[in-house]
Amino acid sequence: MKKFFYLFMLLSLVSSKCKKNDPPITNHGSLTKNKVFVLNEGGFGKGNASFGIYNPDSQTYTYDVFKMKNGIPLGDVLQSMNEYGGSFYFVLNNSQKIVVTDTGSLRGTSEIIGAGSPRYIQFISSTKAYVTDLTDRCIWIMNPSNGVMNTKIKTHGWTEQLCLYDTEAFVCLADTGVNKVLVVNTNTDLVTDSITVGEQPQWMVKDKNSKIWVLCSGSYTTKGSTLKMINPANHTVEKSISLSATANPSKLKINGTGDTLYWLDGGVYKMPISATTVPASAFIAKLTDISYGLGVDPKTNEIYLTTTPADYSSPGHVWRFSASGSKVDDFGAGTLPGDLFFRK
Amino acid sequence: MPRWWFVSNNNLNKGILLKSGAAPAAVSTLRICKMSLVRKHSDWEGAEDKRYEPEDLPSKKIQSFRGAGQWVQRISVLSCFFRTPCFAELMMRCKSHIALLFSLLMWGKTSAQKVADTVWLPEAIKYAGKTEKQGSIQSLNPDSLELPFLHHTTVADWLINNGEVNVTQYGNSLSSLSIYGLGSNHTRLNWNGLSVPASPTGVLDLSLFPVAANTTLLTGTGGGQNSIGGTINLKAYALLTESQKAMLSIEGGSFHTGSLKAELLLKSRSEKLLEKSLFSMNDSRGDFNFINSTKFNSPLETISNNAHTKMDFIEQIEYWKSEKTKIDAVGWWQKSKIEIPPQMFASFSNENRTDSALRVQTGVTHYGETFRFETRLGYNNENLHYINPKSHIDSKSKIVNMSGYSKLSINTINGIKCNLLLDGQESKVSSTGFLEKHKESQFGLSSQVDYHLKLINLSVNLREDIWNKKLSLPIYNFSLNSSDTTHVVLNFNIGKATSHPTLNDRYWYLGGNPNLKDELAKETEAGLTFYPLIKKERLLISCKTFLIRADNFILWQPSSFGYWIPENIRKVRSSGILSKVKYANKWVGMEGGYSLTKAINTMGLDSNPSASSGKQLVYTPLHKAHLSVGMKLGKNNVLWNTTYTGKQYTSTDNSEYLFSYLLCNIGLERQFLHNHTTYDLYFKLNNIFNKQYQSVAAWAMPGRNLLAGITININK
Repeated sequence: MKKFFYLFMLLSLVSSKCKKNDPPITNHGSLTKNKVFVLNEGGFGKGNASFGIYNPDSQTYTYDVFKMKNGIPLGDVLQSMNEYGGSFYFVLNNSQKIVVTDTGSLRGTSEIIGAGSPRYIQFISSTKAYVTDLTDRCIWIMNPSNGVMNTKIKTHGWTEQLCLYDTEAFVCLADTGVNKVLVVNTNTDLVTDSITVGEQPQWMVKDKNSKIWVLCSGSYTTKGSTLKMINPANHTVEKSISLSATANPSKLKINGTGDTLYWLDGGVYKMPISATTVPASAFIAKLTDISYGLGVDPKTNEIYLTTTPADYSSPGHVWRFSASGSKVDDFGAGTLPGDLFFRK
Repeated sequence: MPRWWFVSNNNLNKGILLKSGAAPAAVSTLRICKMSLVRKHSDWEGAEDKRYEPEDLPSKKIQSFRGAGQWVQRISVLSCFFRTPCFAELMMRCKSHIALLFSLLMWGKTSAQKVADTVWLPEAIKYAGKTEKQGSIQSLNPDSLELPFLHHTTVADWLINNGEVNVTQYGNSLSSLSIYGLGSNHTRLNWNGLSVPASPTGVLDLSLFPVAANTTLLTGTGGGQNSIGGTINLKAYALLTESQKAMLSIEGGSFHTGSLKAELLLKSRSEKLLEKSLFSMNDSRGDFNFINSTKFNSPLETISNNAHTKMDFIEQIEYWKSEKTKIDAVGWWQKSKIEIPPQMFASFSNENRTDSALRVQTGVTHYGETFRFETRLGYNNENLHYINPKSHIDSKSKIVNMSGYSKLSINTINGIKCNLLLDGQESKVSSTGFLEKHKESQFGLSSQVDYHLKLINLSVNLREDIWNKKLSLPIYNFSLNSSDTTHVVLNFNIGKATSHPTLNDRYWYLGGNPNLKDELAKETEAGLTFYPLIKKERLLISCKTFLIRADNFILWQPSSFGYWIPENIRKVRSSGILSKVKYANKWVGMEGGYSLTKAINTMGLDSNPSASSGKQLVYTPLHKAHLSVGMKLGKNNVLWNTTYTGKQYTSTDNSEYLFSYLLCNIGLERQFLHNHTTYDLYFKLNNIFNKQYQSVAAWAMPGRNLLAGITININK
């Protein structure tokens, strides 16, 4: 019986030492040129954020490119991405970091930490970028040249999307009950002004006239979603458009020519910047699954709508529509595809 | 469920009294306790406390109880057993070291024991408690004789080594139990028969509760109320036996872990009054190293913000007013502060939570000739304070709960036994997640009738609840078991169980849905246990199969209002096989178990139903197994324990998963006796191959770690 005991120990030793091989790292060549990045948030706390790359010409989609290239998962809750100086910056909200890759091979070069819950990144110069944050009540100042992010501009709430105009950054302050867009001088990094908009401003785009459009979602309780057009030159709201009382809008986008706004509210809504009222019905009707992300190709004005199953954990889907709203293609994506990035 | 048990006289009395059938002393009390488990037809089955413990029946009371039919039956059966050639041979041949060997066989999953005169007995198929699963076929208990080796073990750690239930561990901070994939918020905790309210989330954190003298996990099928996912029963926490006066246990080990437990037993000269005090404390930095496979180059990191401090103080008093009437009171103060570490992909965390609880109970039990009456009242004050400074979250919840029950058990002629139970509770709940304070109440009436025929035993249980002033659906269970006089036991159970929505489900702001219905589960199971007779050896083979159809399961969904709302929409079908083999001879003993659990969503959760419909539930491994092997090596006792956890899916479409893992632990124990004082010196090496694994995605788990401890038992 002693033999049996030792045999059992040996078997356990052997079996516990068995390891599965890591997935092979494949060379995908020039994946990124003129491609569409689908940013999959992944489930909160699951660490399964990813991005895939869609080729509009061949209508092919490559899943989880980062893991293929680097052998590790990207992180948790991929909120947004941006490109600057030959690098991609992937902002991972719940991983509390920004992952940097080069734009050619997509191999990771560094990770930038310091923010509690980074949301969006806006580059100002080769030595300065602003990073908004969900939990730290500030705007982080990051140096892209060395990846250091240890100074911040204090705010009084969580900060969301931001736009640049001249030497000023316009930043959404998105806490419940808050209705301000902050104005930050990018030279001094001081908050110089605030503009009153609707409650909970979260999304922001700049049109062809350099006017800044802000989509304010309104709170759960008070509703009251609004679109505001800010003249950044004089910090005034020049146009205010109310959405319906039952509206639950999100993901404000603008086309490549900067003259048409798009947003999600079940379906996809489309409105020229000259309009004074929102359209009565959706430009693209709501699909069966839950609409989750939106993108407009700046070159073709094609619309990409992403959806997620109701369990919010199964893989999502991407629907590609022409500028006129007819379906062109659709393909499966990762979990919670929340945004798209169009490489120029 | 049949299970091996060690029956021991616990050091001093050597079982001689039992062999002769003489008046039981403390040791025989323990034996009688065990005897109630030896076979399934103890007279008081059907109650959660059918397992009589020493404190229920102090030695001086035994003689009088022997007059009662049930006790005569137990003792006579016991005596018969101990007069069997098998037992005699074992007694003649087995020396103390063999008993020690046997004791180690079950350590971890089961037990180690340190005394001579040990035999194995197959455990009874246990019937569940009053409000728990009636006719449950799976019941797990740490043998009371293994408890000396579990002084500093939590219920979570104990269950992990069992291998048949799935405990998910979030680093150092939370351990929840998921049985048959039915969700961690479906497990219920009872203390001395009264429900301990869970947090508003409904999730029970098993890492807060130490293994108690009477820890029982009930799973499987059968009608139950608010416990679809199983029930954990704790009785009095005292670990001392009647032959011991005091105990001090100290343990220390890796990750700056230190534990202390002290226990004192006092008796009045007349032995009418008995008092037990227990204090335990555990402190750990939890600063283990792990390979962070989510970062570039997989660096070796030390986990941060992972410390915890836990304290328990328990005071228990029993007073025997007469030979048949016992009055008891017990209080339990508990406080813990637990840091919550960052997930592997995050750089830091400063979250922490503080749990505190005060629980007080008092009860009266009367043992009649043909009946037993028991009534009990309890008060619980449970507080949870969660702080996440980074996210500016400061959340508090408080539950004040009053509960009680009265139970009458009657033995009638012709093998019919009846149990009647009336219970109720009322809770007041406040939380920063709720707009206002809430009350909830529950009153229930249940009855169980057992009919024992020559070859077949039948049991029927019915229960009706009034929950928040509304009549709930009746629940039931019917069980049929073949006689235990053969070496083959067949059993069959069918029943229905329900579970109420959690407080968060109903009252969370925004989104709580007060109109949620109870979750339902219809359960069926059948099993076969075989006890082949092999000379000088023991062998048990059991196999059972189960099928659970759960309906109205709650799922939070986004709504048209812009926030999430829980709805009764989910359907789950769970089926599987549980098998177990146990074997022992003089030199070696082993226990192996394997479970196959196929738990699937039967309804698609989206417009593309095939994505999740028919897929295995998340965090429900299809395969689980465990194996314990123990043997005597010289004067030392060694136990090897291995658990295997199969691949676990982490997404509903089963596209993402965690790898399977195999963990191996080894323990070494040595005992010294000196002047009625027993010194137990032990070492445990856990995860000896330093396996890097995750129980929950992106939560690091410790690698190899060592614990060493000494327990000093001062006997009479």
